[in-house]
Amino acid sequence: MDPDFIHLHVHSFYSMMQGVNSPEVLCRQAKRAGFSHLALTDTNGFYGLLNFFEAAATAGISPIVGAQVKTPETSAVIIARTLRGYEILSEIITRRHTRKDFCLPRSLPEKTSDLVVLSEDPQLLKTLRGRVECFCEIVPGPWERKLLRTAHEIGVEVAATNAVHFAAKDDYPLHRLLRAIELNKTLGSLAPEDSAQSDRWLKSSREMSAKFPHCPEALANTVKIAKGCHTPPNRFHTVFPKYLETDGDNLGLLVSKCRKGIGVRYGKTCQKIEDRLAEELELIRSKGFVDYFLVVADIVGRRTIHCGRGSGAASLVSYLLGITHVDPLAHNLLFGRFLNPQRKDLPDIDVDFPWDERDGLFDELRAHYGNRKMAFISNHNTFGPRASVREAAKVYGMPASEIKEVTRRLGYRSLQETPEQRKERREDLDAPCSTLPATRYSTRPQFHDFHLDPPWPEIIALASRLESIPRNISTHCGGVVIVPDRVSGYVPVQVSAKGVRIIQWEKDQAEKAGLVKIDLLGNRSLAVIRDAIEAVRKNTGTPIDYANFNPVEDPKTQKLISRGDTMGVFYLESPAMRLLQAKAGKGDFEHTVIHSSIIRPAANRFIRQYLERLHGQPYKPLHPSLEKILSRSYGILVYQEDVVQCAMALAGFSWGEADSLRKVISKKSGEQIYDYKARFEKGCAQKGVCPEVVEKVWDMFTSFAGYSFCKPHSASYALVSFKSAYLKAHHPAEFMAAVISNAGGYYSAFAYISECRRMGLEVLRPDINQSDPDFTGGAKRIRTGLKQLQGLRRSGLEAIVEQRRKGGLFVSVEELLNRLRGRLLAADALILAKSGALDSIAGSLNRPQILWLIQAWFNRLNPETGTQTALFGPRPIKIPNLADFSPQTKLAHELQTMGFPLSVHPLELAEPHFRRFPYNGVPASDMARYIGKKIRIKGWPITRKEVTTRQGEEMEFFTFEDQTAIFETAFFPQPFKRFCRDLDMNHAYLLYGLVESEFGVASLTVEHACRVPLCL
Amino acid sequence: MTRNIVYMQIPDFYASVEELRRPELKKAPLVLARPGPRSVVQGVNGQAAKEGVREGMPLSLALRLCRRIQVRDSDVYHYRAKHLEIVRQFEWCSPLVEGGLPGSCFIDISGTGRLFGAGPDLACRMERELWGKMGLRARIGLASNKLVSQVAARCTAPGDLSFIFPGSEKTFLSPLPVDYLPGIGEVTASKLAGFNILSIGRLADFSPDMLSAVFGRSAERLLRIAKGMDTSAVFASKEIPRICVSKILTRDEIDPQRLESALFEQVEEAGWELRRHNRRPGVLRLEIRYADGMWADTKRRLTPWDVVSDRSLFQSVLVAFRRIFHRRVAVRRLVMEFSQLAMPGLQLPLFTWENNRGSKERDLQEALDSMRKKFGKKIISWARLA
Repeated sequence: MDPDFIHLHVHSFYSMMQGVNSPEVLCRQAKRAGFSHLALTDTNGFYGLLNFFEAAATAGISPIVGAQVKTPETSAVIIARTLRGYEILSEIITRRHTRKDFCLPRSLPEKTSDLVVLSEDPQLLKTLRGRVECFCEIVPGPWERKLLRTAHEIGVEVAATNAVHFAAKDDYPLHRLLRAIELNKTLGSLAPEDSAQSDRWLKSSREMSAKFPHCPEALANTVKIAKGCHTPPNRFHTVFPKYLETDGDNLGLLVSKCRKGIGVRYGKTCQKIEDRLAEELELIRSKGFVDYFLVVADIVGRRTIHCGRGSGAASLVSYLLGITHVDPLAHNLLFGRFLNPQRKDLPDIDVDFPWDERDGLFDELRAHYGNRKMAFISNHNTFGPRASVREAAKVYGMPASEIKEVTRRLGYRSLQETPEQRKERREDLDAPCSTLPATRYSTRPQFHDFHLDPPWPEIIALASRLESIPRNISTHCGGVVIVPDRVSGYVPVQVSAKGVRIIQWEKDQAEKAGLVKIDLLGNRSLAVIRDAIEAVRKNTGTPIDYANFNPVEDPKTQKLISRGDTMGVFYLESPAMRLLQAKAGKGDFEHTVIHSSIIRPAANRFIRQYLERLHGQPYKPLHPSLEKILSRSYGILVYQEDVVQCAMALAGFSWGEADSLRKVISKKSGEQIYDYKARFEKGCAQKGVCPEVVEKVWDMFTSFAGYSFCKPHSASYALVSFKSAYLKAHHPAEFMAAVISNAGGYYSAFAYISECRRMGLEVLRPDINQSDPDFTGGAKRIRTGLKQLQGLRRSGLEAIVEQRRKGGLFVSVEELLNRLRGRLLAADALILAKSGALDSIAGSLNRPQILWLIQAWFNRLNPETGTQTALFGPRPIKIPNLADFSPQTKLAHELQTMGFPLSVHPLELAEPHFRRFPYNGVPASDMARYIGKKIRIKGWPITRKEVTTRQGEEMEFFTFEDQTAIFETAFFPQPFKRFCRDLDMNHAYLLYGLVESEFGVASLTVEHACRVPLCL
Repeated sequence: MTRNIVYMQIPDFYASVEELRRPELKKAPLVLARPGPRSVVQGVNGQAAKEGVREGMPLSLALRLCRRIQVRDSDVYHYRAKHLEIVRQFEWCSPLVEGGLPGSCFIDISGTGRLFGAGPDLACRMERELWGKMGLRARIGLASNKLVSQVAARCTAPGDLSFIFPGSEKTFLSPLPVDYLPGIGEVTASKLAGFNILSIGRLADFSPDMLSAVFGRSAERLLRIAKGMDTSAVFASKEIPRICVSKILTRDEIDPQRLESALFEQVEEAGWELRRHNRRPGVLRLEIRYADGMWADTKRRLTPWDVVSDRSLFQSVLVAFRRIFHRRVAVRRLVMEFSQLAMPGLQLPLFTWENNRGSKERDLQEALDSMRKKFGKKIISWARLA
């Protein structure tokens, strides 16, 4: 039966801060209400279009593409009837976002039948009538009669809509909350025009008919419009970038570049290389990837330091073009993981560049390829658990301090229950959750002494619904699309807060739409390597060529990695990774590749098995057919390819099927996993694999949930790890200075300073004449950079460096102030003095006297003009005789200006409090001597990681250090419950617990922790 | 003539008064706060202070710092009454008794030697009398000016006297830390610490020229107080008649309509009192205190109405409220104060055709008041049309 009405004006939550439901919920609701068609008309965007298509297909509904184009002056719902209409609308939305002088009538073509316009604005309708098919939009309300009259006067037909902003009436409070957040108001102060009316939900056809008994044609017209729309959702095809503006094939060019690459990489060719190259080129040609490779090669060729990674590193062509640096033949990397005849989705090549070179690279690319052809992928920023609570609480007027207390206790976990949990209770997934999140949270140990009194339960309940609603879009960290013609023909483009052109889709939707993305990511470790290489060249004159330097076989580097002394080393520095390296005791490339892949959240139990087998425990392969596949990883599934190969070997899956299984596991797609598991079990049964083996293999498969890596990716990263480890082993001062300066490591600057001391390096305080903006290292010394001074303005720092370069070194404090007059503020000068940076030019003055001099010098200036007020030149500043600061005060100033005490370890500042305890702690360097015994040990926290046990209990791993060594501790659920409220990163601790050893590495299982303040 | 200024300060005044009323509270840490989940500590006793609990701290934080703390509802009116009682108690020895912060006062006993004996003896007698009559222990400072007597009181224990001989002010102040001086706040103390000037004596040693190089115009004042110089007089306290209605909301509130309802209740209470005393207010002061401790207030001069009706008062209150309520934070407390009270001057019409201004309003208000007088305040209330 044909419906009487179709919704043509519907907002999903992609109408940022207006709509509240996802396209999935809207489609399900529309289907339930008996609709065959549904339009999605988000405000000024196609933000969720691909998701809408997918949801509509799942729900069995015909999707209609449209958008509400809204300006301060007017508003209209524009619906695309055809593919051409879609492209025009995409261009209109792009103009709406990118042009300040945007005018809707001017943006529409002179004459088109590809679009339909619905609007309440009589002026707009008058202007567009005759150019586009126009309807006067009638929304139920007291003003509808007036609109009907206006439509009659203008001579346009009417179309009924409900301007839907939410799927059900229960969602209205959430809509109001969103509006209050957006407008920075409270619910009480929200004016009626600030939000939609309470009945703007997805009403059924019957309910809408009841609203328009006097105007049946308004309903009938909606059906007429819907039936005339033919925008096929499968219109999207793969769009590759174009290397040159030629119509011909660029394969010849690609082949010649590869031939040149053979000479550079291998010296001469061989049959193995030729066979692999021919195979890859054939596949690249047939899949249409020729230009894509050339474009990526062109991009990476613009910078000397980069790291091609991801599955693309398995390609010999990538290696020969200089995109990647790991030899796929030598390391047995499977090209099939990257490109395969059966692979339906789009593979991509990810390339890392030094983080501070990326923006310059993008500017070059824009100039080369043209602004219209290139745009960034966007991120859809959604409300996270803490942000949703914070924003909802603000609307309720909660004080900031209380919001902080609650969000701190909530942690980062989702407030929502998982669909599985709700399904267990047989709840409707579209309905609000029946249990209050606050009830669930109040039982957590963090809320033991903090009652969630009203209105907190109400706030948290609303916040849990707010979670994962998109809030705005931003620039993706590195994904770009380059198309042959213009991006805005495929997807609307807008300008981000950063000022760059971004498409309205995030990476998943861009991929679904066939836009091939190139990931150009910023990597701080590459900048560390670059800076360290430069410092080595400057200090020793030894040049190191990044691309050709291969330290994989260097014994000193291997030894450092095998010890786990890898703080600062790319990818190998996290506590878990350092422990794994130390427990394995292996520093060769092959094992490092395994380690960087096996270290993932769900694989803990297999890591233990791996270590046991590595240390000689005999094992049998799970199945004879897996023996060869898993021989290099001791029978454990380590890489993504292992999942694919095992599924093919055991269950007879095709490559495409096995790769889909790998993706489904990785994305934790609930229902699909059950489906694949059944197929896997069936396939195994057909091949006679016993159920026990199937269960064990499936268990290993599930450890790839969340994130996992393919071997080419791990190998690429392992090579970067080796390069940084080499620099740490051979040029420690230069390397550590670069690590701290680039601020990209896992740890704080203070933790690296401690590591420097443990490495025997001397850490020098900042000095106005000796310090660069960044940390500098050489000859077993590291000089603190001026950037480390907290609160020192960038302008002041630049002025110091510039003046030092132009006028030479500073000779006295007063001379410094005179030379930097007007460019250095008093606050900056005081910071420099307190940090001790001016000590070297102060002569006989102590620090209080330097501070006096600075204050008096600035007071002498007229604050209005920055010029001196005295008529006959400045009077000399008299400095009184002031006593110098006590050592404690100097430490307090270090802490204040640098964020950490530089001259002593913070534990020494807590020593007076430690002395009150009747026992001394064991030095961390001696911990290994107390295995199996309970000890007391002093510790300063370095990093922490909260995890959940398999039983769902919370626990935490803490890394501490003392003056002698760094050590790992575990707070299991009971001690965690007891001490979690006392644990932070700003106090010293006296810990008591059992020293345990695993594979020769000692760690502390904490039973008691006592927080000790610093004496300042 | 040498001035003799006594400064009397009762430590933890609110808690001491409360302990006096309920001696069983003395045994454990005590906190005074209004009931409610988000109340603020208004008073602490010495034991609670040792645990790190301070006045102005959220009660939830105080409870986290000390689990065995006893929390009692604060009775500010009672404490204020006690304070006034103390001030009045010393009026026998001097007409110049200046009540400062609750639990502290200055008494100028200059020239009373022939009547009551030496200054220290009189000060001790006053303290004994306070202890004997009211059971409260005070620290007493006796010096030649208000500033030094305040510092002197700070340097002694409760129940004891610190007497600074005239002329020895500099010697007394010299070793004390600079933040002991009234008038040196956190910012100035921190600035002085930046130059390693930590004691009052070190500060007093500077020449005005030298100090003004870094402290500018405030150098002179700093030097004056560092040398213990203070010529300010003790003024006798004078009570200003006013009607004050304060309300702590049962739940922090941000909805403007609900807040206006709460204000109207307060207006009704104040209006009732004004009419009962046959007074007309000249000035309105409205204070709102937010849930995060911030506050805002405003004063408004009122037009002389013929009738002190709730509705006309509320119009003025509403204007004042909308002027100060801007933040996106819930309100916890509302304080409404009417002062400059005068007799309402009712002008009768001279001619019969002249309108009797406000007669309808007056009749209505009188009818309401008479009903409430007879049947209770809740018998009838105003409604608001949406």
